[in-house]
Amino acid sequence: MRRAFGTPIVDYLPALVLWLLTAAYLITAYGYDAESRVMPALVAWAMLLLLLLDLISRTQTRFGQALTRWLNPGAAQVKGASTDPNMTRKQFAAVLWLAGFATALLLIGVLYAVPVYVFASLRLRGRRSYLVCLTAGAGMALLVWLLFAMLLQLNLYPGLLLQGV
Amino acid sequence: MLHVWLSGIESLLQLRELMFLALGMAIGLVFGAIPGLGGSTALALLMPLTYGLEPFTALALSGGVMGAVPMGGSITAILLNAPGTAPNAATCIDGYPLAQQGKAGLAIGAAASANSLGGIIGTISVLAVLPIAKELVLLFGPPEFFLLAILGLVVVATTSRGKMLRGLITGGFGLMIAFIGYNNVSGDVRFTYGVEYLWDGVRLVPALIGLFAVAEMINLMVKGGTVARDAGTVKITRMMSGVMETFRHPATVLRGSIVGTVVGAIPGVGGVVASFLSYSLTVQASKDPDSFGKGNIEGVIAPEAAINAKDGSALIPTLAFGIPGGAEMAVFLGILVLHGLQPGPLMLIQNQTEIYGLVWALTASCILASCVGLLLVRPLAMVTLVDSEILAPVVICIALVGSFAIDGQIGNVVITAVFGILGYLMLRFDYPRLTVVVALVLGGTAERSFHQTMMMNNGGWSIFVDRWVSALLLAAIVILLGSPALRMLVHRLRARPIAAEKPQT
Repeated sequence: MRRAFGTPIVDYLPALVLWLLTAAYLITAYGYDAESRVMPALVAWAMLLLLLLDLISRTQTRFGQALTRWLNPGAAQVKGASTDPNMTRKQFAAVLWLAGFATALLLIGVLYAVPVYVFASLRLRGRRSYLVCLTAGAGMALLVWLLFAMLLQLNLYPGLLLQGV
Repeated sequence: MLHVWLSGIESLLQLRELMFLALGMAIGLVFGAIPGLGGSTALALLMPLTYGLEPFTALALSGGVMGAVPMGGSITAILLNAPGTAPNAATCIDGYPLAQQGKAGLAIGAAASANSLGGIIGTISVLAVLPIAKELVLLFGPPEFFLLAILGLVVVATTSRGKMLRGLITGGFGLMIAFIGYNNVSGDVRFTYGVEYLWDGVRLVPALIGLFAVAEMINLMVKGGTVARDAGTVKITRMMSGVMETFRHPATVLRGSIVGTVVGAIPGVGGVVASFLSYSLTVQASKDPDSFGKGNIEGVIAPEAAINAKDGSALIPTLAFGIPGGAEMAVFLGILVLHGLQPGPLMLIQNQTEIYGLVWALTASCILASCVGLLLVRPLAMVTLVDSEILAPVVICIALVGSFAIDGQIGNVVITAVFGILGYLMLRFDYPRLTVVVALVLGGTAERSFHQTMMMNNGGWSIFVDRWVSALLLAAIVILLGSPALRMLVHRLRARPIAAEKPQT
């Protein structure tokens, strides 16, 4: 594994990504007038400094280790875990399931997305029988309808594709 | 004062309020019993459902949840060595050995009664302190509110269990998010990148649902399996003896309750510190410290009394200053805002009935939860055996649909999903989430107060040291930020004499 200052490069990524995001935020902030940007710019500059300290504290240098002892003694090192392919696959799968459900809600609306998601999740992830998956999907859709549409009198989102249906 | 206390009780003693209190209590027990969920997740999920309710009914429901969660958490901590909520981890140390010895009923009985007594002592302390808090907050103007917001963030960051730097980073990140949208001061719309939904800023409630409920579910999906692996360990006997055990150790209950009350009033410190501090003080005060960790009943009573006492006093900074004492209080703050109740000095003056009603709801819930918890120990323990593959999709469904239901904006679903992933990444890379929540809550106040302060003093910064309250707050911020260095210095000074002694011995 490639290392920089004694630490795997991958361990710098969270702080590095945040640093870049903050830099972009700061550049955007300078596009606004002085009154609007004063607080965002103040916070963004402070963030850049803090993230720099975070990056340094991740190195195995003497200064980095001293910084960790002072400011981050309880911060766990996630060495190795990030490279476990099984773990990475599970994480991606979990995030994709969530993203898939959110997209389904956007496209086909609440009343169709909920049973489809519960059915698919139980069938594909949980490997339950079709009967259990169907019952759970229908039960969940009924619960959502009763709770939100009936009890709270809310108009459930129909979805972009089915808006006119 | 008695009149306001009584009006709080009167408001609570309505059929509708009592029903929602009982519902909240039942939900709190279940969510408390499921490790990883806890009060913040329960409140985050319930938040959109409270939208259609009267504010006081929503408070009764929330009070029911908050009062019952610790009891639910202690049941699984004792029975399965799986603390339902983080503070219950201290209960595991002696509770689980007791369960292994076949004394689970004794331990649960003791936990239930310690919970109730701790809750009552916590309530008494809140009732005593709230009137003084009202006088205190009237001393606060824009400079003080700005510094208080910063202090709140710094306090939460410095108490992020040895992760001050990361706590400050996530606090700053939360502030950056809080500045998105329409700016009241300048009239500009900032950082929306053309997305119209973001004009009102990132809505707090969907973000909280994502950060807590969804992130925990992603974590559970990644880990897989069930929360508890073996139902065979569940043995329930001698519960009433356990209840009596608490009354045989009044000093332990009182110590735990005082620790919980004091720690709870400090924003960001939370129940974990309260329960472990109470436990360690009890071990130190015991004549038989070696028996702890092997099934000493005082090891169950001490943390449980502290956890519930903490809940009452955590309301003080939340209601008086808008600074949440912990994650649960941060979500509760969202519920208050959702119902048009703006925490702060005005709330203490204008919404006294609601506040005292909430305090009573919290107390009633923790007593009721203890009683119901004793009756429902076995079925509650079975909840922990639900497979994550069933639990996760159900919770995610309720979370995402619930966030849409807040105001019928589909953008809320996207925010919840994004914050869910963000929350998981923060868990994964060990960045504290609480500071993000505090920043989202306090960001607007901080910016508004900052601009008001600058206008008051024609752009001069000296106002922060000219007024004694703000000077005090500034000093507190500096001390807190310098605390790690101070701690290191004290540690070195202490270590020096020991090192000097070593060659002689």
